[in-house]
Amino acid sequence: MTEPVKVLTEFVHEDESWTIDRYLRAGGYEAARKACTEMQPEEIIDFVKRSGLRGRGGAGFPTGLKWSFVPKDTDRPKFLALNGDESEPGTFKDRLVMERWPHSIIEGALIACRAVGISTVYLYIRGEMPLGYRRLVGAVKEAYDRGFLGKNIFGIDGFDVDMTIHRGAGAYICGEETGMLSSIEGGRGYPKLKPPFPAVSGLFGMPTVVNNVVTIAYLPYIFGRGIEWWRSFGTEKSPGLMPYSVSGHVERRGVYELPLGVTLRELFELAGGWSRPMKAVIPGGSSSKVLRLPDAWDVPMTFEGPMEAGSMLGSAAVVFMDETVCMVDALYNLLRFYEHESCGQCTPCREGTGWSVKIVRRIAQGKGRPGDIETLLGIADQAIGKTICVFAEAFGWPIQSYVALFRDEFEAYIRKGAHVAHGAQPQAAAHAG
Amino acid sequence: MAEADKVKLTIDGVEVEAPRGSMVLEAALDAGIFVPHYCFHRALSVAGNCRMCMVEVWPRGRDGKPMGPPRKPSIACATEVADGMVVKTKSAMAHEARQGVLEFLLINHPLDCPVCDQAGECDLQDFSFQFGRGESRFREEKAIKGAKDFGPEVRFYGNRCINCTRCVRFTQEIAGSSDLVQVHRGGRNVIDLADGAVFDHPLSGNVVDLCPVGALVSRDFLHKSRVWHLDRTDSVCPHCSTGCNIEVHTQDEVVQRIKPRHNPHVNGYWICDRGRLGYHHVHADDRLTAARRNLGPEHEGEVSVRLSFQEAIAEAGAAIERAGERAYAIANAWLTNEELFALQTLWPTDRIGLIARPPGEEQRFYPKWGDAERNPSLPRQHERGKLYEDGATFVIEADRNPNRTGALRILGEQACSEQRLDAILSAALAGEVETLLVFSGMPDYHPPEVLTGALARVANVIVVDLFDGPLARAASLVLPGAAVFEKRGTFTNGRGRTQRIDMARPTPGQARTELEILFALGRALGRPLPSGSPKRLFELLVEQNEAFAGLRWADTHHVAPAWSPHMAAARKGLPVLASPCAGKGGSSA
Repeated sequence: MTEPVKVLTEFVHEDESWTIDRYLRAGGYEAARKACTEMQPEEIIDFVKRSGLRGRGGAGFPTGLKWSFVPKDTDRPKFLALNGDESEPGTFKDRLVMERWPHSIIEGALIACRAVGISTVYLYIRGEMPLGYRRLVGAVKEAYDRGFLGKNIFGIDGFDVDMTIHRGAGAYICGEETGMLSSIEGGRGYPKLKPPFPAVSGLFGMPTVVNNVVTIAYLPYIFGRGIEWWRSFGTEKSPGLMPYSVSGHVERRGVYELPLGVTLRELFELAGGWSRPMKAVIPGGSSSKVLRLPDAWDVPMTFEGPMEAGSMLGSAAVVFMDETVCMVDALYNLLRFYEHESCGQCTPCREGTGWSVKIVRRIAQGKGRPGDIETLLGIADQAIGKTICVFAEAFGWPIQSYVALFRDEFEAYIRKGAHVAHGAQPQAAAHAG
Repeated sequence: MAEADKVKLTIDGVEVEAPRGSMVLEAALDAGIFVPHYCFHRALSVAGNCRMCMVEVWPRGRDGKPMGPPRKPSIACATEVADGMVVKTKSAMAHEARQGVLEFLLINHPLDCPVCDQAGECDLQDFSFQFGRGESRFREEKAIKGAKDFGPEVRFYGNRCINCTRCVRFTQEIAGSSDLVQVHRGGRNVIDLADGAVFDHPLSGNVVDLCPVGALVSRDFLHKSRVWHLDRTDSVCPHCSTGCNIEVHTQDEVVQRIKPRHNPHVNGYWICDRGRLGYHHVHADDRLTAARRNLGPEHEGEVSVRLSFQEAIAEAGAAIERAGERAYAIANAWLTNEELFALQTLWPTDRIGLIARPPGEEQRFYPKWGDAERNPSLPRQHERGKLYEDGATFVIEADRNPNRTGALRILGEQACSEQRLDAILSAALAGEVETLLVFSGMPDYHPPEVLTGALARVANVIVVDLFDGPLARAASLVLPGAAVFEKRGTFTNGRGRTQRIDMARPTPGQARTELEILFALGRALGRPLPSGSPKRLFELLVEQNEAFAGLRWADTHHVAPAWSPHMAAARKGLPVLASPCAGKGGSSA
């Protein structure tokens, strides 16, 4: 049985865990001081590469590699944009760290800035997290007061870092890295065409590193405790720790910090299990493909594990569903979200999200027709891979997987005009229209 | 362009050369391979949002050979050309992707083509016919978005909008305003006025041309005609010395609307609203259609006597003949080069003066977002949109006349000077002018009092004009002239470019072009012009006047590159739908 390894979450239950004094008592800012004063920028990047750290935001891109894409000999300003716009349904790991352990993010940012030669950091926090915003603003002020932000940090001549906390205005798509950049620039939160990638032309057209806040928050620990410590968790390709957001039908919903590679069964049991037979699990946030239980119990939660099972690790937000869940209603619930959150820039996503929710709502209202399932799959097929960002996948994959794994339920719903899952409460009645 | 700046790629089996850094869509269009698109426009930044131009792209692999088929299609508008790249625009992958996009675009699009002005020149209609499925699987309720007037010239129908954002990008990148914005999110996305804005920008009408569907329509043209009834004539806008290339659209000899004609050297894709709406004078109520002799105050009751064209010419000829050296002429800056040349042939230039519309305010337009230096995220399309060295995208010149440069070149600086006009008018006031031939015919021209006052002291005033205004009333002999859209010839714009205008409609009633009038006068005076043909006179002008040396008649007509299907088809006189891709049948929605 894998045990939780509390690193980012070690002190989060304490009162005042977000203060700089608490952070310093836990040895805060020492790792960054050491890395910044004793290592050359290239050595820092190399260190991160060797640690095998991959992004904790959802895509799992190797962090050191991402940093190395930023042009070295440029006189243009470079930016670090930290993504704290955590909006994926089921995901709440970033929120915990931002609200209760914010200095780890600032310390990690210092290491990144030193490595890439950056002096301006934007942290974009989801608009619906006012507490996290206040805590981050407070933490940034504390860091300035103690000299961890501002001029000549750690006594290094010319090592200046400024940090701005930028609140979102309530849009899921601003969690997409280029959508976030557009939003910081003051525009609509529209994802940008790639290439050029942010490392070359990002914020305000300047080279920009975009990292998830939790990815950055792990850096002080990797530098403080070493690569070997970090690699002692997880697997060769997916080393290290991950804060899993566990929700749905489990007794103790919450953030569980564990090594990568923990199985879905272990997560389920750690969270206290559930009294009814289980039916399905979303392994990586609402946009990842749903997996059937019990088939998926032993899927290891690495970057590769859920992929081999036909889904993805994503943001490691695990949502368990028991047998009472009607998959038509569950899909309807998700699609309502995606219809509401599509930025509307690209035709397939703007129209496909609205169309698919109308069909599923109609089915959930008992007015399904033969052919609806094929149309739904057609919509997903026509959208996936055909838009600027991966939002089309985010609403297309649920459609494909819910229908593929639970097609009998959809067909029965259409035939009978009512849900068939045992004990499920139809959502459509509550949210009709 | 140097070899190094070019790349070679294969599109639909044809090897194509394209400038490095250009996009696959441009390369395909330049090679005559049409890829349907909505949001892409050559003068605007790449948005990549409509997804209509998806094609199959095989990049070149490490071994120099094209890699195999891609997992998914790419948008041609944002895929940079590369050596050895293979592009398939008509493959099953590309075709299915397009069909999907069209189905999506149509699910919420109203089936109101029968009442939509865009029908017949609508990219949604055409591409649906060419590339669409023919039937929709959509069984739900359509989204409803309102309609409203954005400004004096532009009306917006939200339901028809496909959110390509061409109009928004135009206002920011060309017009330099932020009047139009996109509001709301997702399926509720809609174009709207920015808070507190009224879209009364001098370039506002261009968004109507840019809109690929019938969402932005001209209020001036609203429900006036169906576009397939329109005849199109290439011409040049006369309202300022920029000399924007235009198309004059007529139905049954009535001008219905003016559209810009692409000319990268003059106006790009744009015209201003003054030019766009500046055709109404052609059909003004006070348009002169018959020659007449005005009777003096001694003739009680009777005001004038109607004359035939021949009678009028005979009387004018006699009056000019009689006056001898006491005969003067006043030309204007709206006459064509050929007319000015004819006048110069018939008349000694030291007895010619020039009137023109007074200058207005010069208006220069710049992109809203500053220059590309400061903001490297600005795509190079911005550079393309710029026509002027100072970065301006469009200029409305202060000189509100189309051919002052031509007049200067043909009549000479002295004839066109203020002093000359003053001298002629002083002579007239002093009673030293016996016959004065005045060419007016400029819309919105208000003759100064000194001019009308001087005419009162001249025995024979022959006025050629469009309107029954103060000059025609002060004349002894009135000859109805022709509007710009009623004649052939050339204008030379403020930057010295000589450009052709053509007859979009015949002159009304007894009205004649100024060239015909001069030709007839030449015969009456016994000094016939060498030709009455504008082309022949232009050739003689080129021979005799150094300022025009080397020009050929054919060069004065800029033929727009036919990459827009409408432009191409209209030029060939073909219906737009006669495309090799058509034939699958199906409805427009």
